[in-house]
Amino acid sequence: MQLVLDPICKSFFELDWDQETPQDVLEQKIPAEDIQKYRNAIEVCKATGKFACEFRVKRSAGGYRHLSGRGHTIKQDARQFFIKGVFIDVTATKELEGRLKATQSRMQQLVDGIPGLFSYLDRDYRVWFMSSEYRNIFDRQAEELVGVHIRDLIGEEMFKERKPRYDQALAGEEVHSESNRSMPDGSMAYFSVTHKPFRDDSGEILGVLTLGIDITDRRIMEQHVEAKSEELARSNKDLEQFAYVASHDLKAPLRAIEVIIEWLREDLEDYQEGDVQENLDLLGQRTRRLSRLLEDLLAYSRAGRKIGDVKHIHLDEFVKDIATLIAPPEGMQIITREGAPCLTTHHAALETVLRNLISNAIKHHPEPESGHIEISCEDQGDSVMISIADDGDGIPSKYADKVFKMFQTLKPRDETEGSGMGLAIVQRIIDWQKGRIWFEDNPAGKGVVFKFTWNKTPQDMPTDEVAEGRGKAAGISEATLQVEQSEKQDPRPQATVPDIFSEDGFDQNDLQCIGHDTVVLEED
Amino acid sequence: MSDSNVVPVKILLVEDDSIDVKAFQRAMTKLKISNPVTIARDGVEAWEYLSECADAGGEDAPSLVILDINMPRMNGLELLTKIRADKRLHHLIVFVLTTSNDEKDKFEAFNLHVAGYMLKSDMGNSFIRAVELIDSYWRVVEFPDPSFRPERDAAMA
Repeated sequence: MQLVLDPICKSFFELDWDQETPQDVLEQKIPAEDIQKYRNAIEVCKATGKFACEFRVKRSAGGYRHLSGRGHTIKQDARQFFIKGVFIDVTATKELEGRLKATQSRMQQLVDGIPGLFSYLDRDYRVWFMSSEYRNIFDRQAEELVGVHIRDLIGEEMFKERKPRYDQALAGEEVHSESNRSMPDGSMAYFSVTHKPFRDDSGEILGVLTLGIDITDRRIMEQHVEAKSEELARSNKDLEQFAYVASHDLKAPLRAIEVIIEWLREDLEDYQEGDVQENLDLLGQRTRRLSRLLEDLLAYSRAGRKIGDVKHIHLDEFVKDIATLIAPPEGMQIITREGAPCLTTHHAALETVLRNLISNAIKHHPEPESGHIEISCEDQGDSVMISIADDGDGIPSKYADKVFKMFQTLKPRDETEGSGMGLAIVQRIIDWQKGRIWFEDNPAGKGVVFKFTWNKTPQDMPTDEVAEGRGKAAGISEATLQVEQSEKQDPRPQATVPDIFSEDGFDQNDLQCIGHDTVVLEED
Repeated sequence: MSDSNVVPVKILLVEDDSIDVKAFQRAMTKLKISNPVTIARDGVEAWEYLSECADAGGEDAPSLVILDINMPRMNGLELLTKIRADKRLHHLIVFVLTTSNDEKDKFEAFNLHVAGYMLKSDMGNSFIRAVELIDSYWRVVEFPDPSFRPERDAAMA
């Protein structure tokens, strides 16, 4: 077969203008991969009279020239076959196409690198572009999604829900929302979604860009925190119920015991045999101690939970009043240094703190008749720092943490008759007001200085709010409560008494009997 | 002080706490008071006892009731309401001796015509002053003879 080529065509094939161009000469110039395509096109032309083919031609300098050929048969018989047509050098176009594809694929890569779902819809809500992440959701290749109406991908219902937001964006607004979607594996994923209008150079809005960031982790964390908060609120409620048990159910039999001891004393007034009188004294002492312990335990559980009223106070006067109220022993001097600021704060709580610290200083002083306690305040901007210094025996720094724990005393109970709760209560209150408390050696030589910071802004704690697990740290929440309905129809918590009660000879078993029911004592 | 009431009046103590019962009895012993005391453990027992006495003619019925408020099954105020509603018993002198400092309880008690309302805690558990009061009361105050029954006589007439 002969092809008649004009000189320009010949130059495409890098043939001389006067060279003959039989089929095989041309075919030499065509790369192997494209020859079949070329030959097929010719066969098709023989049959249909129309020639259409795109193929490459080798360049002697290397590389290829892309040709697009269109033609038709002009003469055909058994021997000869003439096609007349046009060859167009589309190399440049092909190159651009290639670059475009490369750019697109680079863009796809870029977008796939975004940790989120990225898509672009045109004004007709058809997908032009979607990041590969969507493959996971729609189970299709990103390229397959192009041109599809978004409704076909997300369903009619979700489209109805989303449409207003798309429209808002198409109108020029940036829209933020949150959504969730179940993943193919069944889990629920949460997204923070932003829709933005996409404008061309003239400012006209062509479509809407959507970016969805996976916030599932954050959402799960939030849910987790909420669950923990609820748990803690419940545990706090349990704590309150425990305090209720302590106050009502433990107090009643305790009162009965105290009364009966009185009777025994009266009836046995003249009995001098053996240890009876001494034992009765000890019995009385221990029950009084138990009673005080109970009161302090209650005070501890209430510390930092009572919202109480916030009052405006002058610190100087306030401290002076407390010092007077305590009525220190003869000879003990309590001095307050002037110059403290005024505060609007939970005055009852502050009073408890000061009262405890000052009483402690007095109680632990080896020579109260010549003792010296000095209280000073320092303004520290957001808070005040209050110091209570005494000239007693001081506290070794190794007890720094111990003294603030529940039921801790530094001397044997019989010497100080303290429950060991005072500082634990103080710590709890100060934690509530987001302050700090610690002690140092008195720089004046003898004794200790207790210092604490008190927030100028009163800190409130609604009854169900978490108190930073302080209850747990102190060991109270180790009590597990089960609420049972008794015949009386009042909730009677059955407490498992924590280890703290195993101090000072309280046998845990004994106390579990008390926790059980007051019926034990009312039995005749 | 009149000594015409030589016969000590019968007292009904309605109290569920056995320690408080003991305390009351100790106080009576201390003050050398020997009135016969019947004890009911709650409102239901007390009502049964009082009904029996009334049915039997009322001559052996107590003249004075010392009433606790917080008791199981039927509390003091519920019992008092029944007493005041019953023609045979509504005349009973009742003193309330309770732990409740609740204004509602006090109001209700006086509404049901108690002769007095006393708090246990005011006296510790010795009840001395409560018993002294009750003792003075029955010694000074004139009680009608239990055998005096005008309606019964009128009915018989």
